[in-house]
Amino acid sequence: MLGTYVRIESAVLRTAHARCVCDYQRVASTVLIVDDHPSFRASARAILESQGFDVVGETAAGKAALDAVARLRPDVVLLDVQLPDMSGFEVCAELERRNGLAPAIVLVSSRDVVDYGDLVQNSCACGFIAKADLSGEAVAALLP
Amino acid sequence: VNRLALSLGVALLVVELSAALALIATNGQSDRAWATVALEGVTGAAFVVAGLIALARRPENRTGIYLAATGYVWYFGALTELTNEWLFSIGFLLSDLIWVSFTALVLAYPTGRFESRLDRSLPLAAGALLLATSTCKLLFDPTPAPDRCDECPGSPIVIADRPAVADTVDVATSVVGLALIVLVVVLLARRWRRATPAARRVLWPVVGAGAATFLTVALVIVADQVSESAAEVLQVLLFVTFSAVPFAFLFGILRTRLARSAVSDLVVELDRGAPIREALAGALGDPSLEIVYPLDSGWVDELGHDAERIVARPGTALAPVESEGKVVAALVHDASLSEDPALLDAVAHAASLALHTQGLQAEARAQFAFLRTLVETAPSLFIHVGTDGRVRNQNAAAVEAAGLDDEELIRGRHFWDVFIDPEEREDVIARFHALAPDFETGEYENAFVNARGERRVVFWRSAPVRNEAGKVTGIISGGIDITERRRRELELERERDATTTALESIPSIVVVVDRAGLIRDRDIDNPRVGANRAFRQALGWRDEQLVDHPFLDLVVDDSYGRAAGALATAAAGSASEEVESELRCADGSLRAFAWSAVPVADVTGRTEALVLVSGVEVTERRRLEAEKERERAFLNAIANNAPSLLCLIDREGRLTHMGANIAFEQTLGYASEEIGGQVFWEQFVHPGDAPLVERLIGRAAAGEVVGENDSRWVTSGGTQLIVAWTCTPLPRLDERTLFLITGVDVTERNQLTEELRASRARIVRAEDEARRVLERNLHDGAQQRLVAISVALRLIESKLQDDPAAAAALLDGTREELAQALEELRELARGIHPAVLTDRGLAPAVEALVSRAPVPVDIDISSDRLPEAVEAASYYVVAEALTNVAKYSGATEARVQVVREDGRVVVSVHDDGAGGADPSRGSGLRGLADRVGALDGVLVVESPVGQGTTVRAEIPVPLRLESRARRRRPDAHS
Repeated sequence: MLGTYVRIESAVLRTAHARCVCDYQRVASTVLIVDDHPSFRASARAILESQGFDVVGETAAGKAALDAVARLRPDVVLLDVQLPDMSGFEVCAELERRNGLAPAIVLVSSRDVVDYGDLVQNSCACGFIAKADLSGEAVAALLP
Repeated sequence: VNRLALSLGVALLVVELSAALALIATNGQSDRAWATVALEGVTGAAFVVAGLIALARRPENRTGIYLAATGYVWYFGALTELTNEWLFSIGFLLSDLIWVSFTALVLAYPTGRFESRLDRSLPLAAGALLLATSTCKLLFDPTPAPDRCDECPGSPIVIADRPAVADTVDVATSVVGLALIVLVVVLLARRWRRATPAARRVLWPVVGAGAATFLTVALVIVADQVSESAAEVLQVLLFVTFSAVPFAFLFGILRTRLARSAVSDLVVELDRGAPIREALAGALGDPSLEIVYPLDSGWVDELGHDAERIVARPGTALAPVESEGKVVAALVHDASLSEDPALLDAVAHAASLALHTQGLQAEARAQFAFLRTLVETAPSLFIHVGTDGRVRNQNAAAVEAAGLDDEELIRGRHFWDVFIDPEEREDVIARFHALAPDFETGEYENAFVNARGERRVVFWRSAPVRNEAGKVTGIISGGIDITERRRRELELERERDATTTALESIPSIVVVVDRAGLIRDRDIDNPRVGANRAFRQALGWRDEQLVDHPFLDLVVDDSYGRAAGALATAAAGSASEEVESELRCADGSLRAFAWSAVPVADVTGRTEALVLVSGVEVTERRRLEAEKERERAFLNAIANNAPSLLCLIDREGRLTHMGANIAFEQTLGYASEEIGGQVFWEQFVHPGDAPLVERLIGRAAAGEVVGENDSRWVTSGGTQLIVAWTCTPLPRLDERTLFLITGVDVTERNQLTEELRASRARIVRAEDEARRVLERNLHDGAQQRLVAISVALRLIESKLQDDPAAAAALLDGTREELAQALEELRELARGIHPAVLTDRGLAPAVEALVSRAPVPVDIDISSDRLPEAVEAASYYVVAEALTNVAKYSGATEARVQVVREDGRVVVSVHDDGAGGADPSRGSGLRGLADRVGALDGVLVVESPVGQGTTVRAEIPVPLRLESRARRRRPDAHS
């Protein structure tokens, strides 16, 4: 039922953590894109930059993402769930363990959110966006 | 004793007498009276003469010697008359010796033999006593005989004049002498008392005179001591009695002579018809005389009665009487008469004729008595009827049959009034008169009601009695009372009828055969019934086809001789064992019977042995048995050919003898004879499972339904098997309840199942893996491209207004991206399932594969369609193999061959590469093997190092599916 509900509502899922980051206001957010597909990274950079985000870095794997976050300190991490070395949820949990609530993490996947059950809900990410629905508005909508 | 001896005796008498007279005359004492001398001389002569007469008559009898001796010694007394003292002394010594011979004479009379030793010793004792006394007197008394004469000479041998001694001796002698005399008299009295009358007649003259003499001597001895005068008188008396003895003897002889003369009187008396016994008793002087007559059976008296007691009477003797050389009678007389056999002979001879006649009469009487007894005691009836039909005489049985108590009630009546019922009487009277006057011998049966109202049946046989002239004077009828027999015959007949009815109505077959084994005739009045109704109906033979035919002819194939043996056993008198035979029916069919033969007596009582064969039909039983046997054989065949392990156990778990099927024996490795008696769970079950198996069988024995269980069984070689088994109680075959253990060796099946399970798991895993790969490929490939396109389109959309040139450039990139996405999707779809395979079959699909292969590939493949699953499996084998060729082998060329042979398709892909491939290494080949295995096929990879690799799959092609596939082919093309 939940899956059905979510599917009808939107390809974008706002999680409970979204409210937690609401206080973290920025005008122009810096973004780190974490995805193992170069073509998606290129598309995502193009569309996010075109809509006002500042893409500060790209990584293709989980561990590299953790290093990049520590180095770049982005406001937002666009995190692919399926990574070659770690899952997006694991990266998410590790980031929270290291940094508390920062940065805001938006999970992306070419799969539907229901394919992950309640993993997304229980994660510390702000929300989930299907890759096909990626847009600056969608990301902004998850960042209150 | 001859005449010479007698003459010498007479001469001696004359000499003695003359010498005595001469001596007395010349030398006698003066006072002797010549009268006395003469008397004394006569007395001595009388003894000698009597003695010689006795010797002449009976030389062997010593009586004569004793008589004569007494006479001769008597004359020595004359010497005492002499004056010469020496002669006197000799006479004094010897004259007393007369008492020796005299005592002997009296005691031995009349036989001349002493009856006892005492008798014999008495004369000697007397002699010794007297001789001693006289000698003593001569020695001690100068005048030894003072009482005899005054002038008697004295003793010449006196040694001492002691008359007192002589007197003392005299007194002592008197006492002893008296004792001896008393003894002699007592002996004589005893003999007299014992003697029979006849014997007393013989005894009394001599013994009487002798006893009187001895008594007188005793009196003289006593009187000598009392008074001389009395003694003198007694002396005279003594002389008289003594002298009387020879005369008494002669009197006895004379009386016998007189008795002989009585024989002639006897003849006269017998002629006059006097009673013969009394006449003979009188003639023989033996009142106890009896006469007996000889019969074959022994002695009888004159009345014909048995006379053995008379003959055996003690003190009697038997004198046979002969007539014409044959013993006709015997006189049982006093034994003493044997002393005079001549008299007996004379009497017997005189009476022989009369006794002969008497003997015949006795015989006749004995025979009559016998016949009378016979007639009276015989169970037969006898009546003697006169020619007038009146009963003259009858026996007791006839009286009893007539129902009368008194024979006088019959005698004199017409027999028909007694023995014939009133209604038949006239007829009988007429027949009786018709038989006159000859009354020929005849037989007839006659039933009547007698005076007591009892019904009697008598079988009579009568014969005429004729007199000397041949005229019939009467009729003797002998009858047998057959009332009882008639009654029994009637009963028997009724019984026989009942038996016959029973035999006819019982369902068992019964047939009577004789000793020769021939079937007897069947006659309702004849008890020897042949075959009964059940027999005739069961076998369908008619009587005439059975009677006198051997029973064994009906028996089919008595090759073991059991039927013949049974008949022989019964003929020998014993009941036979039961025999099962097939008997031939009249319609040619055969029926089986269980029968036995028993001996039976002919119920009429005739002793002919018969054999009764009786039995029941067992055809149906045999058929059922045969059916059961076939069923059993069928079940055995099933059991023995069944692949399951079967065995039978009893309640204790022991296998029955031969109680397992071949599969059981072979699987567990035991011989048939080894399994009987083994406890199932001890012998055949793994020790770890045995308690459970025992428990489960126990529950099955208790009636619980026990399902299939897997247990470890152990073969004789120790190999463990997994057996799925059940235990089922069987319907009772015999008194035991048996249980069937049914087991299936599932060891291999379990292995196969395990393999199958693994194979399935691998298939599933492979499938999952394939899907994951597919999903990854889609995700990583087309999907990413489409996502990128989607993002790009969104970007284009945003650029469209502000920067159309950039949007157009982005669109070019997007088209390129889309073309790649499509190609990737097409490739993916081909990998999932090539459409060409479904649409056009294996050959074009393989050709498409080959066209993409990096090395030249030679193809040999038939264009025939196969079942879809087979085609798919074959396709993937080729696809995987060619992928491996391209990836690993380093081959320069390859060859793909797909051929049909023997109901299967063989797919092989060979390359000339490096070889050394390990089939277990890659999941691809493993998955292929499972796919092929799912179709019951096998996949073999041969990859020797340096010799290339051959992947070969053989997949069975079901014919039915194949044909359906063929039919479908045109549709596929259309």
